[in-house]
Amino acid sequence: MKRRDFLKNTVVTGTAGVLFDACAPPGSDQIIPILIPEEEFIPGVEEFHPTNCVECPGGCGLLARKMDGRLVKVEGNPAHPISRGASCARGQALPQAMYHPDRVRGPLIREGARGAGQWRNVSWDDAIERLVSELAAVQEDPNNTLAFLTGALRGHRLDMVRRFTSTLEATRHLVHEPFGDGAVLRAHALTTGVEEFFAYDLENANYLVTVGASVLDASRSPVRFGRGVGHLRQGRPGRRGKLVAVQPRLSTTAAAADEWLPARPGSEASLVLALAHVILRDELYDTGFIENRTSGFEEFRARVLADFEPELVAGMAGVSVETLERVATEMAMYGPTIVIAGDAAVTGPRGLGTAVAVDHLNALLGGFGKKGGIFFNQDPPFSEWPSLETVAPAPEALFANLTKESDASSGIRALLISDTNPVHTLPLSAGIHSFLSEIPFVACFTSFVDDTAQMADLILPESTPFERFDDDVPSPSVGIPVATLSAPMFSRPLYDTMSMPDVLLRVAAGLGGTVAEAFPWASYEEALRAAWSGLHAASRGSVAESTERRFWTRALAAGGWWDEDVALNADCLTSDGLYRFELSALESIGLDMTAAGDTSRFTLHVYPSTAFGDGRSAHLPFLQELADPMTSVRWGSVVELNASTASELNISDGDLVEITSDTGSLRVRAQVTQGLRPDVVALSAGQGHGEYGRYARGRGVNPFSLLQATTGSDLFEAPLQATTVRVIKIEETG
Amino acid sequence: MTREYSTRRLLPSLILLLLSCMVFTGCSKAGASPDQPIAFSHRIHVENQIDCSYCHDYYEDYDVAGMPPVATCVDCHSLMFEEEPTADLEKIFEFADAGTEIPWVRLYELPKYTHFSHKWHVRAELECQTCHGEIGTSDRAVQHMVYNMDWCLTCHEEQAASVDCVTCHK
Amino acid sequence: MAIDLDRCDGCEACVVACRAENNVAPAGPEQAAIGRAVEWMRVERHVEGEFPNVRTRFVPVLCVHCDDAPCVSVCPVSATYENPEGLNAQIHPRCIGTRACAQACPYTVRYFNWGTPKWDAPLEQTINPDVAVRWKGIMEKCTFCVQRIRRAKDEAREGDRPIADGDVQPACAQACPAEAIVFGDLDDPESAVSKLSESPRAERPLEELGTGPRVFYLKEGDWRGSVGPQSSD
Repeated sequence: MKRRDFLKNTVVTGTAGVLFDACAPPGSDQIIPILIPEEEFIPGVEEFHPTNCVECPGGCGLLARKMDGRLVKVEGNPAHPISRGASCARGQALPQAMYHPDRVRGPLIREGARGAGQWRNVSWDDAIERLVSELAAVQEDPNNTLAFLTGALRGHRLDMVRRFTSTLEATRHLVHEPFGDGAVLRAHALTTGVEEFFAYDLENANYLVTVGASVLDASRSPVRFGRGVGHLRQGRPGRRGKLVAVQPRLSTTAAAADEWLPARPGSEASLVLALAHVILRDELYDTGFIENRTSGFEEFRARVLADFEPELVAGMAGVSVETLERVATEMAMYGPTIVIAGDAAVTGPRGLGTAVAVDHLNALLGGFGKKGGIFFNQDPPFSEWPSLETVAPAPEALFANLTKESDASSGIRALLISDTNPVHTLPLSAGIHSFLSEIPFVACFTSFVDDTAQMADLILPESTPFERFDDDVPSPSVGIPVATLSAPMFSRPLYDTMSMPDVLLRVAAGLGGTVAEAFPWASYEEALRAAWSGLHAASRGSVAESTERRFWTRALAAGGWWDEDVALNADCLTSDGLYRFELSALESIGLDMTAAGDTSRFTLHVYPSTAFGDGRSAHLPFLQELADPMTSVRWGSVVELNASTASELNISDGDLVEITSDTGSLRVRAQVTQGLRPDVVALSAGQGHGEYGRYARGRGVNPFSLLQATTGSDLFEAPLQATTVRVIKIEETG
Repeated sequence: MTREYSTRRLLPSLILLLLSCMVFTGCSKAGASPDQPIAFSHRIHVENQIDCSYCHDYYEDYDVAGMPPVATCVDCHSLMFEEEPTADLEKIFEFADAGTEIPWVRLYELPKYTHFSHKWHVRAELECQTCHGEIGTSDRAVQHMVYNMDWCLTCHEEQAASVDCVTCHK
Repeated sequence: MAIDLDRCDGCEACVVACRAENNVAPAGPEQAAIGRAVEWMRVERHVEGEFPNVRTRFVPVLCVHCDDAPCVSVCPVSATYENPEGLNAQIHPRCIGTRACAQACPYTVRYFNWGTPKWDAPLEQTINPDVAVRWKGIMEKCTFCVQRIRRAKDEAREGDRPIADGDVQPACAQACPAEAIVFGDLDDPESAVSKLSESPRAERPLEELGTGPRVFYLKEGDWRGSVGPQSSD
């Protein structure tokens, strides 16, 4: 036989070629799990390798297209339950992250002062040695603490961090996720006992109300929601669902919605309870669900009927009584209905109350466990790693810590940072700079020198998802267990980079003793494979094979494992198994929002951007060039002002204005719009990076520099619409 | 106002025109035969009954014909024992030992905005010689001719193959 | 092609997907500021009304591959033409950059390369080899991902079968989470795109100009009356 036929047959038989039909996108040859070295590519032949997107919490499974030995495109993985073959603007720009001119190409040690941006290249051996010695020093002194600061991680990346923090002594796990919707998770825990994002059966729903969450453009899971709403709209002949958005600003989601309720920032909880009032008053709620599956209903009903009449709420919220009555009735009459909360509405002092109120509204409508309603996540049955005697420290919200009275950085001798950029996305006034300056040693895992890495002493360059093993458990998910798996699609990383979990393994080995024993794997791949053996043992789902080796190969080829045959579940995990109409969180909601006395001040509303999210995608030129769907801005920022407000302030479209809060000030061009409350000004998050590569550096403005860092231990993230600002036009000469 | 066209003014334009003609009629000239890193002789190999597809083994199933990796050369040549191995034969092993491919100089290159598929031409029973000339009987690889669109189109028209622009233009 | 405006939510996945697939280099801030950004697929935002009664519609705009294209008739060198399958094709090496086609196009979907497209190394590694890299002084526009059509035909011919509906998905259609973009053979009455083109919501843009566009836009639906009271299932 010909030489090449032998090679071709090896690929096919090694992977049981027929299995890929379900996964292969139209026009593809096959998905090749066996790595063909870059030098051996056949020109013109495309390969697809599954990978995992980390640009937003959605967690889409993707397929990366490799042509001529290089990554040229990504597509959604058609088989993946979250993406189902689709992708979003940010995911589509991912190849630019891989080949970005400003990627960190090897470990760097700081030279000169912190923040000066002067670095010296070092080898990985030296970098690991430095890390080990710093961490060993922390371990020796009981007064010292090691802190590991991450974003909201998932999957075994999170498990690695937790294992690391539990094995080392005196370690804290700080979490910073600026649009993390922490209040929603807490609310879910209070009402259902399930501290995870809910899964929504959008495809069978008829009415969808979003309170604050820009579900279609930048929040939580835009691809999955885009598909769900598309289907809700036109996927079922003869039925067309309705989308209502409650937001102070006409976001892309609100613009796509059928109805926009421009509620006053902070009034969302009252508005939700006013809707509940109508449903309770007219007895439109699901009596079966209430009577059999809930507790605390009577007290809740009494409270809402007494305090939240639409007439009382309407004026405060800026939404008419007629609208509140009509929408509430529609929600009850034209279900199945789903209500979702997120983004700015669930931040600030009323954030938790808003999230809890939304959960209660869903309970009134009886959506839990019903078709077209709400279900809970089900975890994939991974194998546990060898158990430890120690326990991982509970995650602490960095923002809450910084804004407490006490010295947040006390005792922290070393800080590891991964998957988060607090210098960019924390309010400046929260004091991140003084926090960092108190810490003697700061190391950052990152692929790019961003605002936070700029302040580090040691930079440990991460491989991109295309170059590393990783897994993910998307959340929110779709109600069935889903685990995404990605493997390197190249025979070696482009630069001298290593994935964060692999660095942790080397550090653990360097520390020796019980720490090393807790990490008995030579590589993260091995650790993952050990965990995934549980999915093999389950013998069900999308990948079920007789041997573990075949299972692992197929799971890599498929891009993950999911089980579509699992029954959806909405069993509450409260002590009595009932949904709890908890009331304490509603205490903070008052009707005491008087009209702003000072009409020269506006509420600043900060929202995640379609192109950049919280800012983590701002380094990609495709996304900088993308015209924002609502403002059309490219390569910059604008502040949106309501048209009548602008005319009162004598500001025209394009004028330079200065926005000043109690804690900061910035200058930016104004854009006049009808899609915004007159008492609100809106700034998108994402731009204004001090450092993040040539395309993002010094571009646009960062609204976090204006936000007030209100103190309060319950605050998961910075309040995104609780800061008031003044707006002044700046005369430009010439 | 009349314009005067002096030869001096015209000359740069003429040169430009000539150069453009050259560019548009193909990236190299017919008969070009660049020096290769190893003085490979197709003739010797063909006389030894080696089929084109043994080395260029992609042309039946892919767009490209394929250039053999040095391993293909080593496969046979490591089993042959000449009485007086030439310097060129030794070079094969030098490259192989260094782990690098032989840096052949490209002989045939179509413009980057075109798409060409060997597969369909081969399956249409075109002989290699039609486009590549009598390379099988040559000691040096010589570019058979200039591939301009006109040449391709003539054959496409005669053979009733597609003459739709986007068949070839990317 | 059929684009359902009721499904489209303005996310612009199609815009970036098209860029990535077709090697459309970013113009950069200065050039974009003077309107020279090249976007084969763009999403237009049509806004009506005053606060708070604002109605917005997102419209993905791309070359509609006219049956009787104004751009074809004005091009002095026939760099653009209608191929036998109805594609309005752009042949880059023929173009001499008169830009008459851009003037003639009523949809403003033709883009000129005012400068040489620039890729800061090593971003040029993302270039899709199936699509030509353009150069300064020529026009470019949406091709309905002709490279994907070519690939699908190649595979169909290889498998000795006709192209099936759904075999060809341009990058925009493939990326769209809302499944708003559907591509196929309008000559095949059974194809998904043909069926959508017959929807009462379907309209062709600027049809009155006689351009014969091959893209149908489906208007937004009205939810009222299309769902009944909560069913008991």
